[in-house]
Amino acid sequence: MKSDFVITILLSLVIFLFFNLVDAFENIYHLTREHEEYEIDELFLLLLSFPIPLAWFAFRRALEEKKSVKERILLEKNLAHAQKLESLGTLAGGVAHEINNQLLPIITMAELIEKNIDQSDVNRRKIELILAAANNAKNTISKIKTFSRADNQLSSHCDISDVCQEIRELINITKPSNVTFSFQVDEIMGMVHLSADRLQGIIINMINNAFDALEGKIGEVSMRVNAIYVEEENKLPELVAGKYARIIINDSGIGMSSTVKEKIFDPFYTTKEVGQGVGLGMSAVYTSIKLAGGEVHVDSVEGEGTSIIAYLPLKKDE
Amino acid sequence: MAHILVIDDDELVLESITIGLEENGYEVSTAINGEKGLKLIKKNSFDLVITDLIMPVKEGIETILEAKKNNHDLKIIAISGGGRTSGYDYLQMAEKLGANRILQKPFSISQLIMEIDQILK
Repeated sequence: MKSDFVITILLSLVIFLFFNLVDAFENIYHLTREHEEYEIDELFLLLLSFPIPLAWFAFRRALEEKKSVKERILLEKNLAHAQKLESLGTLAGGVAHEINNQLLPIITMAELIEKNIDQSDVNRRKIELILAAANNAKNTISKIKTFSRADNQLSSHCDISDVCQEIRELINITKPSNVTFSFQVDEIMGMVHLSADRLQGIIINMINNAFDALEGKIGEVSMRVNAIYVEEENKLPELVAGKYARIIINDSGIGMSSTVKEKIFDPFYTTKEVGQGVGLGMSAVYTSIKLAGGEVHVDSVEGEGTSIIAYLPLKKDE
Repeated sequence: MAHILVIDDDELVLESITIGLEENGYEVSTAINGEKGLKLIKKNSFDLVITDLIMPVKEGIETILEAKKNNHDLKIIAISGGGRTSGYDYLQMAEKLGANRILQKPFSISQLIMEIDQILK
């Protein structure tokens, strides 16, 4: 703002001097032809020299205004999204509590019956199925609890490079044959505010989603992890300035429509077939990253592929 | 035979734990909230109390604090299905405020028996 004002004054002076110069030439021109009555008043010239920089100044203000409105809309949108996820988290926590209570009689009673019937009993397999289904439900609830922030994860931290190396080995063994997987991780980065298990869960979830995006066709998935400094001047609106680990998972899959992109972190939102996921993976990823002080973004073009970019603050040396 | 008090507002949970404990040779009393549980604790001598945390009338953490105030040596296992409204871990809070063991619901009877054996040995 202050610099705009200084530039306006300087520009006005330059224009004023320019007009004076023109006036001087005109004077010489008219003097040679004896037409002195055309001399321009200097005060008039000074007034004439202001509108141009003022117009430039107003134009710059209008541009800045437009930019700040855009930023405000983006922040409001992010806030509304965060509020929506928080309400869903509260709801999910309540649901998890109720279902955990309801599962207890099923698991305990099935367990007691299983203990008391013979291996050859016709009902044995039925009881085993009840127990297996109840334990699957228990695992689903455990994921819901992650989303609802019912798990305390901030008490631990881990070395991100070590975890990434473990993931590399795991993915190389388990990746589907249609996928070419590339891996590039900086060797020394530091600690993040997540347990090793949780961080591994987050990254594997992101990679599995990338594999699924290829829909069985031949394609590429890459994982890049490096340390970056986020500066105050050019930072993303949701991040504070500082050192971050940036995890980028790229895939050459089907990409996402704007609707899918908007809902990707909502709990129970899934584009997968029935039985292939309940839509809790990415919401758990989102919550874990947020709780660790980070941020996650999605860049995707339908038909071309997707990049999921996660920022995790690196722990300061103590 | 050890005498155990189970406090839980969910009657199905209460009955299931009772059946599981009785089949394993324990004597069991029950209460459907912390207030009724505390009345029983004052009248009887229990070897162990198993209490839920989120309950109407008197919730579990308050129950643990009052029970421990009356009898500091009373053994307590806190059980819970998790937080209802926030990320606060009620079980960890219960452990800090006097519960000897904590168990996340749903658990199996064998898990519960293992915890009881550890606590009463």
